[in-house]
Amino acid sequence: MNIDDWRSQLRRGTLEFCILLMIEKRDCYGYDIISRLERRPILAAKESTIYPLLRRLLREGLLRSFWQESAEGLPPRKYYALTEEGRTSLNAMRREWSGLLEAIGGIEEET
Amino acid sequence: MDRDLESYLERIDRHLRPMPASERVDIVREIKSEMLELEGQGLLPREILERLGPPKALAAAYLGEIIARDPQFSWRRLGSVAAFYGLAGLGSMVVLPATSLTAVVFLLCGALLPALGLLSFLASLAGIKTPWIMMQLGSWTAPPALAFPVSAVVGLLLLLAGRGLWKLTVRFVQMLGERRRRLA
Repeated sequence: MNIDDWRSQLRRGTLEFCILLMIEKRDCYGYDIISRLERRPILAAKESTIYPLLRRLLREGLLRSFWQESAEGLPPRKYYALTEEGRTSLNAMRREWSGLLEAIGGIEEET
Repeated sequence: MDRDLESYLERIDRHLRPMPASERVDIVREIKSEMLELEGQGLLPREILERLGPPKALAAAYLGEIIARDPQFSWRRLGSVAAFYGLAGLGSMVVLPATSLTAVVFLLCGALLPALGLLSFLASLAGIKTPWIMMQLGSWTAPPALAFPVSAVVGLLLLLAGRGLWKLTVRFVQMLGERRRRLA
């Protein structure tokens, strides 16, 4: 069993969930998301993963985006925010996630 | 802005040519925004480029996403497939051109054939000779009356084959995208 493979499968399966969770707290721009994920090595993903993923979420209507000027000396940033649909999906994902954790816990406790 | 960074953005833009201009501009602007962000943190242009990886790979990630988003055939999508295969490297040199080109040829022939069959059939009804349309299967030549049904059946088969090959193309691209994501 290659544990690195398994870890990358876990990350792939949960990356959308993590990104939506981050954006739910506050509107985020791309690099903000990437650098915050980077601080948690199990979730770290490159630009070539995150940007296309954000575009897909936009296209699916879970996110909306807007450009905003930043403070003096900083570049304008493209911010992402949750739509109503995104909120609904996120809540559904949350339920699935806790269902999964419960199911795994249940199996572990089985005798 | 640094020259190397500018030329990186230009290359991204060039590789993304099959996408609509508005999307392309937005993508390039977003990457540029990150570059400036990193510059602001004191990273050197060399370090920024290292972080972003080869422009081909980054552009391919975007292209893979638009090809996978909608399995319908369109010229724009064919352009994306072609560009993606150009970027995806040697592994796909054989599979993608073969499947995507035969898919297009089959689809075109599948549409053209019944049209010609119908034309030949109508012409024979009107008593006009159309020697430039010949329906030949091996040594058997279809008489004009049969031209339309025969061509309709063969045309349908070609359309089905073309559609199948197109789906195969899309599946292959999705698989490449998946593999790349695993590497990421």
